[in-house]
Amino acid sequence: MSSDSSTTDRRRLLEPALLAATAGVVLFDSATYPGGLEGAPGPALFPRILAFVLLGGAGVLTWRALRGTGIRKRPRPVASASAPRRPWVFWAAAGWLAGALAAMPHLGAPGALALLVGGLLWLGGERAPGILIALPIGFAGAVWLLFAGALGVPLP
Amino acid sequence: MDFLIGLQTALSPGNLLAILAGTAIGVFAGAVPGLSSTVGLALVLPVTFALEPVPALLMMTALYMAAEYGGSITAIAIGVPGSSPALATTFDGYPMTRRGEASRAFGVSLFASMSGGALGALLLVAALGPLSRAALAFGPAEFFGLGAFGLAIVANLVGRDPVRGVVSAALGMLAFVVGLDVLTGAPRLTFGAAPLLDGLGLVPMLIGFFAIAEAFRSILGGEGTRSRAADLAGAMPPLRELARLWPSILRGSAIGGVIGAIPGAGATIASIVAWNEERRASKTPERFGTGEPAGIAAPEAANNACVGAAMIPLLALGVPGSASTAVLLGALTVKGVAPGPLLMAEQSALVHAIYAGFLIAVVLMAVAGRLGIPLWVRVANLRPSLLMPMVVALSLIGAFALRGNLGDAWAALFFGGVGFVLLRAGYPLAPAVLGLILGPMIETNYRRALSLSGGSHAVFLESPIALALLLLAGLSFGAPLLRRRLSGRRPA
Repeated sequence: MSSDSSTTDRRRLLEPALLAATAGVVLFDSATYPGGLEGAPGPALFPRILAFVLLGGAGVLTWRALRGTGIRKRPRPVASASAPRRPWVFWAAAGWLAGALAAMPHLGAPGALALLVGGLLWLGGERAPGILIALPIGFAGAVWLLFAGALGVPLP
Repeated sequence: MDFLIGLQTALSPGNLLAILAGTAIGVFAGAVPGLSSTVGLALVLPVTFALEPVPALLMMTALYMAAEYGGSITAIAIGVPGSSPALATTFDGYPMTRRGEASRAFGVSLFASMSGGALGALLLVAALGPLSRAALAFGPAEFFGLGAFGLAIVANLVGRDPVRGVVSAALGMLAFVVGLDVLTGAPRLTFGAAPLLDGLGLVPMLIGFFAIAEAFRSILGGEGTRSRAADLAGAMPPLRELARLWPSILRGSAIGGVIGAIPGAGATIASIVAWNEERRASKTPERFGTGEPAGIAAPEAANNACVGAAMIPLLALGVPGSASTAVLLGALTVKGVAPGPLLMAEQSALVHAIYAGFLIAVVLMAVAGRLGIPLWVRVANLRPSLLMPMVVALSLIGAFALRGNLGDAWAALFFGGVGFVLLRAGYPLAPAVLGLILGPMIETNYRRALSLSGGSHAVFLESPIALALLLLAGLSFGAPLLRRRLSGRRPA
């Protein structure tokens, strides 16, 4: 077996391993829950059932990975049908969103929203300066007017 | 005669203006992810303090009705349910938009919402007394059966990989487990973190999975997720097609009418059940989930029929069956109106004005919706790279606005990341959301039923309603999986 295929196999096993780990955490946590009253099941029953469903799913996915089946047949997500242009963009977009949310209490909602929209437009491939400046500012202003002005929702 | 007096009252200029304002705010509140009929009603509640009881209640009932329709706008335009009852509308609405049929989808949604709303209002007029008494026959065992029946739809949403679909539903239900147990108060899966004690909300999950994950997909995939431009000229489907959808609308309205009248059930489960039943009744079930108009008509009729039906236990018994009707109950109380068995005798004029107001709101909703279709289609036709940043920003503000809590916006972002990873790994997201919605109903009522019966499972067999619902759930879950297995074995 080439090193490439063994890497792929390890990746295929990562998914069931994550599911099994999630189930393990649920089972571990549910051990501390109190029991039920008057013959009724306690709060641990439902999470435990769900943990066993996850373990069952992990088992099937492991079996598929070891047999090398079910991978090619796996439904491809819609976006992956078109080749991702820039894989780093996901992390950049997630980081930008987190940064804008963190900045919201300091910059206020309009400032943070304008930054958020502008950054995502740029990451999405928009390069026209007019759109990159006017759209975020106009949109943030409109949201502010709608929520804070018309609906009376106190925004940061 | 009483109804005509009610109609005359509702048609007075001041009351008509109140209905118009309620309709406009309702469409907006329903369409913005994070807002909902409940939030819209809560926002206008202080405004109604300055109004007389009739216009105040007419404004609120019109808002409630219009918000259910509004939820379908973003569900169809961008695949993000504006509110949870529109979840089922995304299954077929968004695929229609993606293949350039947004205007047709909006037309179907509007016609179905209008028809469902009118039928729900007629149900309210006809069955205020008897149906409210029947609805009270629902106890924990029956609610468990209803929840299980709703969850059985997972079998139709699993996509091509049933294992990942079921795991997705389990993960959604686990998300609901996080927080304090409703029955014992024990913290579950909180790991000592105080902010988790309140649980992971449905709205941040809806926003994260449907708005933010879709935005990530759009940004990462360039223009790959762009839908084909819709034809603005054909803003409404032909009358012949709408007439063909009548059976779906009637079925959806009947389901919405019955489920809406059950306190605690609500429009979300009604629309999900309606979609599932429509798929089962169809001669071409395989087309559901790929852009089938009947898959929009049934759930939209159901969630709008729920509005009139939800008023039945509220007005006849003073029992609010949902968060929205609880806000309405608050408004009634503030206005000195005591809902209950004596309401019709003591406030007949008000009740008949509400009946008439519902029907006027349906007409105004149709006008607003028809005028709005070109606008919704333009939104759907925007380049995703332009649209998605604004959708994300609006969604995060909507998540914040729900409780004025920035933590909800963070939770939406977290679920967006999780949703994106799950999508990339081939997990459908709808079963997870369904699990989060129905998990509380299933677990809480299962445990309550067993607590009342002293631990005996016979309680689920002794109730004919619970037994019938559980059998239907088994049939609903098993049949599609069995059909899939059999068709998989069929030689090519």
